[in-house]
Amino acid sequence: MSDPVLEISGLEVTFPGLVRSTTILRSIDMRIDAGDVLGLVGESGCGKSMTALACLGMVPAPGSVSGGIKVDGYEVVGRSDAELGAVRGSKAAMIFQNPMRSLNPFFSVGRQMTEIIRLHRSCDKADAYMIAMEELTSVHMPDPDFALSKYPHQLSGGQIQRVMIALALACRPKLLIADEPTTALDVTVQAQIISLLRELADKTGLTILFITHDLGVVSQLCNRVAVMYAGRIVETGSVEDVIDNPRHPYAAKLMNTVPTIGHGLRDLDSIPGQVPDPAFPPPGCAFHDRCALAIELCSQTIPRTKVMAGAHEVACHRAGDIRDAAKVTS
Amino acid sequence: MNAALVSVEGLCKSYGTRHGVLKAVDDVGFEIYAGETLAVVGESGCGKSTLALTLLGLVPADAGTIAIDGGKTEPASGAMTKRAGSDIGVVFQNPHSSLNPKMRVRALIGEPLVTAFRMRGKTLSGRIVELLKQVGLGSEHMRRYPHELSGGQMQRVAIARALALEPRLLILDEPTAALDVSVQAQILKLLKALQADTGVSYLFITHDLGTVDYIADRIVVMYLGRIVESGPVNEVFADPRHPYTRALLDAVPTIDPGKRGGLVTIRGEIPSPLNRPDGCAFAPRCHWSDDQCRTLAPALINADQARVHACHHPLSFEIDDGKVEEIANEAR
Repeated sequence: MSDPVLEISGLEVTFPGLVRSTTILRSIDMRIDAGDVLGLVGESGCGKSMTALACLGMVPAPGSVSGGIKVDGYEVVGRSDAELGAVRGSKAAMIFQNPMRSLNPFFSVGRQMTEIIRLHRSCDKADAYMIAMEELTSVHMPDPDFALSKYPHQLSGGQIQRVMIALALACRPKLLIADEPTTALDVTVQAQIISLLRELADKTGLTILFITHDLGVVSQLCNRVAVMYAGRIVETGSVEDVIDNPRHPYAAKLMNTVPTIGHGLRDLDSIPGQVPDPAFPPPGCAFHDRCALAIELCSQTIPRTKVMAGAHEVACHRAGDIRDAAKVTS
Repeated sequence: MNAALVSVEGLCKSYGTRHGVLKAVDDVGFEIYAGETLAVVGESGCGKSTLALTLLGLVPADAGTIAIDGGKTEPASGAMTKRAGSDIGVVFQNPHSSLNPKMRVRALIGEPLVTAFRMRGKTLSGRIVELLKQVGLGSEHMRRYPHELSGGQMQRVAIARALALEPRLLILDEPTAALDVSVQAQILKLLKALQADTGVSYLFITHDLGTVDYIADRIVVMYLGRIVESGPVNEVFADPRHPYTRALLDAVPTIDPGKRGGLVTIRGEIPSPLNRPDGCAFAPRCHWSDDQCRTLAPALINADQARVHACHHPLSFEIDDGKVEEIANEAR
């Protein structure tokens, strides 16, 4: 097997506080192989965006990072900003939720694109412009020449997100990190962007780490899923494993809380309580006080990650006891 | 059929901007019956929030009438706002901005009771505790400030406040869009239970069709300020007549394993309401459009009893599946 494009092992991110420090990420292990599209899902505050930032060495000060993150074989943790320049853009690129904020409103799209392409690919202005045109064409931007002459506010949200994807891919990164790139878009435009990312993954073998809270998007776009809860990955596996046959009670519940067309009459499930405050995590499994299957062990020891079958991994004491997700919902 | 609780006719609202006149709501009419939920769906800029504001009287409408329980009101008149206070309640999308951060929960829920009913003392406290209980919160929350509550709890407080004056209609403007999925499910279940208990009607504004299927009885689909289709939710979802409704349904990513990889996209994006296309506003993005669509705006047709659509070439379930497949292949 070839080397993974992204390999995270034992990643911990901690922020110091006046009274006590807060650990946002706890022993994260993740592996993405070339050509995979991994969906990282979880509710707000579970640490999914922090994981993405850590991959590019962008954890904001005064956060401290320990563990290992290898992007295309290059160790990111502990590098200086200057050294990370070799990773950002060329090995891994990132797109964000709100594309309007990612571009400078004072400069035209063309000027910003050529500037970044020249920085990474050391070519002259005319060549950079040609590359920008090509990239915009490959993301199906209607009339790329026109788009390059415009300022960000003159383009729609969907068009700007296409510009950001084109820009991210212009430097031929191995890994694209997408942090909720469709959340701010309308549903018909979201479908266009999802189709585009799927097409790029199929045609060019692009590897994508896709962060979202929308399980429907994951189901449509990704082939692998990792579910996060309170700073830990609780379940990993293929889309078929995790979405259709979840083994962690949290993941199983999550699937049943999504209102789905055609399931109108089915009673919606909900998870009692709320996500714990990361500064005061409950002892043992962080989910035990919201979990219907919790036993005494759950409130005492943190469950280790167990391999269920193949690449399906679950961190739950009761994982072996859950035969089907239906039992969890009762 | 029994008389409608709320009936809206020919509602129009446009804004004058530097770049011309923006028709946010254009000749919109519908009915809401007692105890039912009407969902208004559409993408950004379709006028669904302006619709809510005009119903509440927060924005004066240009034309049209809103009748609540038979009593007609000119929406432009000031009388509307007062009436709306007790007949129509509202819950907004973001409780962080709709709840005053300097007021405790007690004052937030109590304010409408004091203003409208001159309630005070034990009666007031008793009613507040009762309202909190209705939305699943305990009396210990009375002394808290909004920042001491989670997003879901804040939205519960906003719902309790909206219910304080026992409105006949509750306007819910994307009440779960700012919440996490597990909390969203809690709020949706709460809303359904409240409706079963009190018989309040909901006007539920959302862009999430999954939520519509769960909570609503009837649906109104809007595109660029106009209604393109309406009808009972199960009928509209099973057999959409307007190509835009179909496109919306096809674009929703679902966790249903049977529909994996079946996302069908339509071209283009919503045009700015400032330069609304001639004819049918959806024509430039529509796979079925022809010359007629581009020149003549289709009128709303009452197809059968409850179903209404505005399209020159309405879809029918049997014949168009092949065509959709074809288009899907073309798009790939």
